[in-house]
Amino acid sequence: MLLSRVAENLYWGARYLERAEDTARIIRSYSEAMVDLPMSVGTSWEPLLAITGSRSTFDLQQDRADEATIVRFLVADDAHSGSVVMSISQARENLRSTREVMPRDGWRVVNDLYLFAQAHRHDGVGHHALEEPAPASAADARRVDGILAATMSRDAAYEFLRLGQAIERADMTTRVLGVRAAALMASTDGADEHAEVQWMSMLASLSARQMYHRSTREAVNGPAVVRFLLLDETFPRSVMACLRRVTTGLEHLPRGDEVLPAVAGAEAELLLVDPADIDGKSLDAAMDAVQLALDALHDHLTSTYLCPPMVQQQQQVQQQG
Amino acid sequence: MSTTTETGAPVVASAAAWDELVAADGTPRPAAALLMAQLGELGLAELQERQVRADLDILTMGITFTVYADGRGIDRAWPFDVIPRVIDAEEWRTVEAGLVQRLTALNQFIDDVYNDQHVVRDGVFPAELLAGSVNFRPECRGVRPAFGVWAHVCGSDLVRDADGTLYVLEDNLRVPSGVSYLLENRLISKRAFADLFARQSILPVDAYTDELYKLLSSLAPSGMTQPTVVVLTPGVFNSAYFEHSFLAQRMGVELVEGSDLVVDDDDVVSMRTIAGLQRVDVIYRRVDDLFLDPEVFRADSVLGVPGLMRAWRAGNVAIANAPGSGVADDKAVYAWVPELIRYYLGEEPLLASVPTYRCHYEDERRYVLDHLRELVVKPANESGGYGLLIGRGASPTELALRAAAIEADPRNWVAQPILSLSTAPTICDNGVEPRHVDLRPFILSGRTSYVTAGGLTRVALRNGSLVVNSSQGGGSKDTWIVERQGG
Repeated sequence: MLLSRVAENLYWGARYLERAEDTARIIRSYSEAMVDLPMSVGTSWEPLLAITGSRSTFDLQQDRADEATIVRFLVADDAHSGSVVMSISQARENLRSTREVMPRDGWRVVNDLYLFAQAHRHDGVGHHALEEPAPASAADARRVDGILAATMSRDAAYEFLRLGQAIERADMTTRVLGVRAAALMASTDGADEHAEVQWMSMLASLSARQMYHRSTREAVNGPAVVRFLLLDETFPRSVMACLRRVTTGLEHLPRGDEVLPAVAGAEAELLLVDPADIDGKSLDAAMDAVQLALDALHDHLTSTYLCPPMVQQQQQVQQQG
Repeated sequence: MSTTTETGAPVVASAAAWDELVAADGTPRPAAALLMAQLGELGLAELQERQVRADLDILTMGITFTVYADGRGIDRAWPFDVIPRVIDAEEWRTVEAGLVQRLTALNQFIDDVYNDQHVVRDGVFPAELLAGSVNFRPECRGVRPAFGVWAHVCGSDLVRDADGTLYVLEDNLRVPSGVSYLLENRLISKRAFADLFARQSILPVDAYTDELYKLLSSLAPSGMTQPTVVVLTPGVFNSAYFEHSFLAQRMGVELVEGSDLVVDDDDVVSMRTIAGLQRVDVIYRRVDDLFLDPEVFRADSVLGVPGLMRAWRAGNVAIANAPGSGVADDKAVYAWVPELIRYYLGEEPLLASVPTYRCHYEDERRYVLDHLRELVVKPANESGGYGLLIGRGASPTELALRAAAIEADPRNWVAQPILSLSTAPTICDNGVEPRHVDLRPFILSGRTSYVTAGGLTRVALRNGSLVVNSSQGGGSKDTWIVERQGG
């Protein structure tokens, strides 16, 4: 028995938490790769805007696209709803009204994370991204994961948290592939002597480097990386694994079979990609198609479970005795 | 008023007010002896250290309340003083019996005024007072809730005067809040004084939410073996949202908002779940009467559920507290409680009420207007300390304005003598000083009754202040009911 409103808050709370963690990790690993590149190679921080889909918001608000401005925008900007700090705030706002279904310690860690991010959001911004406390703290989002896994019954509330997480994660993986992998593949067929550093960094930005090597036993190369991040069924951040997680979740929910066709639609998009024979441009297009399918899945979930016609929420104050 | 012993112990004695922990001669009260000795051993620095740790716990546990300023709600950490207030278990047993007696009479009164009105016909309670009550709901006439109980959850405010007598200051019978803080305070105080909990018998408070759940389940429409109980909240903007969520959490029930519920044409209440509509049997509502059902009360309410009153009247859903219960926490009704106890139960009140002057009686109003400086003047129907005027500290303008307000609408005002609220040692900026306290125990009424062991001790953190409401700068303490060893 789970209220639709609460299910929606759980779903969004999990998405924002995942978004905060992913964004922080992507900034951090990008920054680590940048310092490895020789000074002579011109570096741009703009791919980070493309990955996070925040280019147009950024252009409206900022004049300069240098490192400090971009990092501050992605980490701590109050006016940018996708910044790490704002994602954490929104995760907390959503989960605040789900406390009766969340384990007490789970809420505690979310609250802690929020307090930490608020306290440190201006620290170090403007210096190097590697020194940001906010990205460092976002790793704490995984503490929430651990606590939920260890203490929460596998009920509908749990499944909605996992659905939100899986869909956000799949979306982020396709964004990273669509921007960074596509750019690397497009750049003169491996002639770029720094390509390997960049591929490694991309894997690291999805916490995938070690598991990639263990799974493929291959040196880093474009087709293998693309195959691993899209289709590997055992790595939890691959798009396929995320979709499998969604399927498992739906099997535990009432009327889950009504949503399964939308998952199948996204899987079908994914299987159209042939990693052995794809160039940068078509990878970018393919990722756009997968993202559209994920959006359709989200809409399907929303109309099935989350969105009964509701009265507009409004602030009405009553005194308490 | 604050002194320090040779060991550096912050011992406090106050000549004017009764102190809860320290007698007038400076010795600890018997039930507080172990605590005072411990405070002495710790010294101020260690005590402040424990206070800092407690504040940190409160922050990370997200124990908050919401205050309103400039039209928006701000979440504040719950203010807590680590030094507990101690009450002797022997004294507490009398208080407990007095509260049960009081609530039994009040519930019989509510049931009576909505049904046969014997109390009016027998000339005990004036008909015009009932007619003029803003909390009397004609829509509730003729309803007979289970066990004849309307006010299932009550928070009564107790204060102790200079001579040590405990008085009931008011009964909150609508949507009293604070019990979650009482329970959380205990968790924090156990960490601060773990050894004292081990060395003496302090009555536990933890059973409250189980008792509440049992009570709510027992109210379900007949024939329900596994009733669906929910807590109804006005939403995250409400000042007591933390508590609503806490109670739902502890009872393992859904926390619903008005828009989560629907009432169908058969007057059945359901909630919108991911599996479709699911029937609801018992609603513990924390929404005021007037917002409950826009079909019956305020039509503009978006916090309520259209049709809820139909469903309740049809007996398809139980509502706690029952709509209309507030008729008995009207401050004008307060003056009659001793007589109501005698009338319904044939007993003498075990707990004292504060003498109360009712401004709609000519002679009592004259007395109030002539003695404004010695009195506390309160609106008859407000809660939360709003509109309260303490004569002693008021300016001539404030007194004149209040006198005019009383003349304009006498029915809306009552007045009581200024009690000298008792104090308890409290950590302040300059060390440990006495601060005024009150006590809000919670009383559950159904087939049987339950009273929390102690209650929420609220403390006025400003020196000399008598206002303990958290919405107006008050704090709180844990309350220990201590069994004295060897009687």
